[in-house]
Amino acid sequence: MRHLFILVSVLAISAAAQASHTHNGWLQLHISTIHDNNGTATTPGSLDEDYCVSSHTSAVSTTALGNFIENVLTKRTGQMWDGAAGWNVDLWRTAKKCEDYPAAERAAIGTEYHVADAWPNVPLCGNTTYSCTVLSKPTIDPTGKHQHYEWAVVHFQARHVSALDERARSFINHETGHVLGLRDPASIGGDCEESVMHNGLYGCTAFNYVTYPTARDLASVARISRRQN
Amino acid sequence: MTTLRYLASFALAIIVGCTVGETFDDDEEDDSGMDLESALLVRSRDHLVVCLQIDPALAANTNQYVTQLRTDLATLQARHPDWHVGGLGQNTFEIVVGCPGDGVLPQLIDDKGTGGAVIGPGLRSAPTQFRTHVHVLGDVAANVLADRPFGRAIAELAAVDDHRVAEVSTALVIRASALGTDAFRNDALAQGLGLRVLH
Repeated sequence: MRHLFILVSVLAISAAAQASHTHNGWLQLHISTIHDNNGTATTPGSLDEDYCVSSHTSAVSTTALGNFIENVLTKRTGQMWDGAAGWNVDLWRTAKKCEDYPAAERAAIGTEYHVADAWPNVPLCGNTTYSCTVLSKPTIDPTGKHQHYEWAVVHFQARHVSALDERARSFINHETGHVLGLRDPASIGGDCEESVMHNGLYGCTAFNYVTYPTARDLASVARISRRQN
Repeated sequence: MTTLRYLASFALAIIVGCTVGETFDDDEEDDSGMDLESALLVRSRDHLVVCLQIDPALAANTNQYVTQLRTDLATLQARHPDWHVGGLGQNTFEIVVGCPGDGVLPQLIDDKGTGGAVIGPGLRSAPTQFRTHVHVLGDVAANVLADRPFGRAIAELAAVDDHRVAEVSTALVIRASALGTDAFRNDALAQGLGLRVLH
């Protein structure tokens, strides 16, 4: 009997740990390129994830932030978004900052990372409070199954990322999780799990150490990539 | 023995729970009102409604522009393979003269909405019926397009997360002379309805 109680307790803990809020079904708005990959190891294709970086603050330069974002997204083997979903997520930084491209070329860049001291006109950024993401240009998936978005613009607060530290890494990976289709928890301190979407930034202090996409996050993005929402 | 059987059943239920947990929850509650299975994008829209905002300098020709836009939409409906799979409807679409929003155009169109740029109401708790806003401009007002015949912008947004918003209505800004052209119909208008460019 005592052994059965132990078994039940262990299983209960296991069940709680497996419950996933990161993956949440059809409402996983994502960038349109994550279903496929047509680049090479050295050259991005049209279905890879190009991104540009622009700083609008003296707190951090475009080059410094761009180098840091590139490092976080593509140089941290085992703890990065690059290569997710069997390389359907294949991230490539552009050579120039976002504004330096003419409209037609800029339109081909899927994701833009901008940083400023305030974002007074971006909804849900709360001016100087939150980093936030805008998805635009909805378009039909070639299979006809759903609409997804050709563009994502991430608006970072300078105070969140300018130190180029572990906290900045957490913000970069969290917002990139939004670009790839992952959601926030329902409340601060709610739905805590080992996920960069549910970590210390959202009051889940037990997961302060999670500043990178975990196996759970990568599995969710793989499902979105495979259209298994 | 009864207690043992009860606990064994409880343990089995938890094992099943574990398995379900690993397959993920696909029915997360949503209050954004969005519907990504339709190009209309939100559940409150049951057919395609497009609003048409005419530059005051061109107001005398409003009926002509309405007729031309109706022809462009009908042509796209007949030819575009995505129209029906995108959920834009069998027969009905509607054009309404006048678009919501303050009507103020930026100095230059920002296609992606960087820094919060919108042409229209922007973030709303309840999206309007208009999937697409078409702004027809005369030559002077068309300076916002630089040298382009048409451009696009975000018209309306819905909140989908604490700090994430998504476009649910698209603004198309075009020179009056571009209405009725293949380029406008197959490219800008198609994409402004959430369809692929028609080649």
